[in-house]
Amino acid sequence: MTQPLGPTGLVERNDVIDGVSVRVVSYKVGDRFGARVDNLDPGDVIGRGRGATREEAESAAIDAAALKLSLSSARTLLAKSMQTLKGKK
Amino acid sequence: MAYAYPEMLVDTAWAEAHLADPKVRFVEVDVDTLAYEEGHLPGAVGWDWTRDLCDTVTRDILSREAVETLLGRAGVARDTTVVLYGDNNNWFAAWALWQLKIYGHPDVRLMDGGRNKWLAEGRPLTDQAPSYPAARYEASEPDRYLRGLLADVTEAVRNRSIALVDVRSAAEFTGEILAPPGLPETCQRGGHVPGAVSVPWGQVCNADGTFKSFEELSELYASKGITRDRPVVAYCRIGERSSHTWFVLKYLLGFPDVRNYDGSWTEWGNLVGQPIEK
Repeated sequence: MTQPLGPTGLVERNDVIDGVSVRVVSYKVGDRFGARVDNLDPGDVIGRGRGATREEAESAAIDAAALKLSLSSARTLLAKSMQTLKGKK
Repeated sequence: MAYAYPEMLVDTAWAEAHLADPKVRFVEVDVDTLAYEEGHLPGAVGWDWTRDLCDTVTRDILSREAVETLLGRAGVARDTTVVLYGDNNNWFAAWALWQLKIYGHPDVRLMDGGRNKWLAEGRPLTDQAPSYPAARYEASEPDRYLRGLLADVTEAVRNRSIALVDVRSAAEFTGEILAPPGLPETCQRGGHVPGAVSVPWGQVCNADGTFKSFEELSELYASKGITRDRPVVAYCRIGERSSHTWFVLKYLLGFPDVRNYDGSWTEWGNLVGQPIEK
């Protein structure tokens, strides 16, 4: 007989990380908490975290997402700088 | 008015009532590839879109042989009803459905609302992956007319007889950003294919992830000049979001000629000698 397992107690909120709108979803699986952060549109997961508490899990997921977003931001700035330099040639 | 092909959707109640039906196979396909392990419909097989639903060497959809292996491993026969579902409004479940239709599986459907609706309704879950006796599956020759290729898009740009629907976000469409925040920027230019209209994919869904009504969907696309009397090619960044729009146009609205351009912006945006618009 299948037991009803899986994520329970889903909590969802919108947030902003480094100027980017994101959705933070946290939930309980067994005796631990999990969390994920997605970029709202299209909703791709850019950070995941686990922890003994909801706060720990969310914090880990947000840290992971912030790292990805900062890398994206740095690449965009680099690309714009390259375009500017090309334009000056 | 009902959808053009209402049998292409099942609701969550129907799904729960058929969990033990041996003629039905549920398959979960998520954007978040770790979600399946945390809990899924009892008996559902999990497919990882990054591994199971693409050829990463040739950057292509699955070959006929790969589809036969994938379905055979899931114990799916030609007469099995395959019900696909997943997170994020069935985004990647639609990608899987598009490929199964290309290879001619007779009965494949989406669970309306997907994984999130199932969770919200507190329906049963398990963390046990099922095992089914392997089946010998014989796929059809690929239906070339469900897939948009570069030549189709080039033709669309040249004579404007084919409607192009860009389903990415507004910021990607205008070229403000090259990829959704936090994702790899895999193209050289920002903007869109000349002549394309912007209809972001998520606009077809209600807040609970289910599809909007036939009337709402008709009005949405008609307001952008997308009508059934012209062939339509949908595209996004890598072809997954646009498979969701392809499903809506093809099966909910019943447009006769709809193709999903899986090369999408990562192909067009990197082409040498082809124009873009911003």
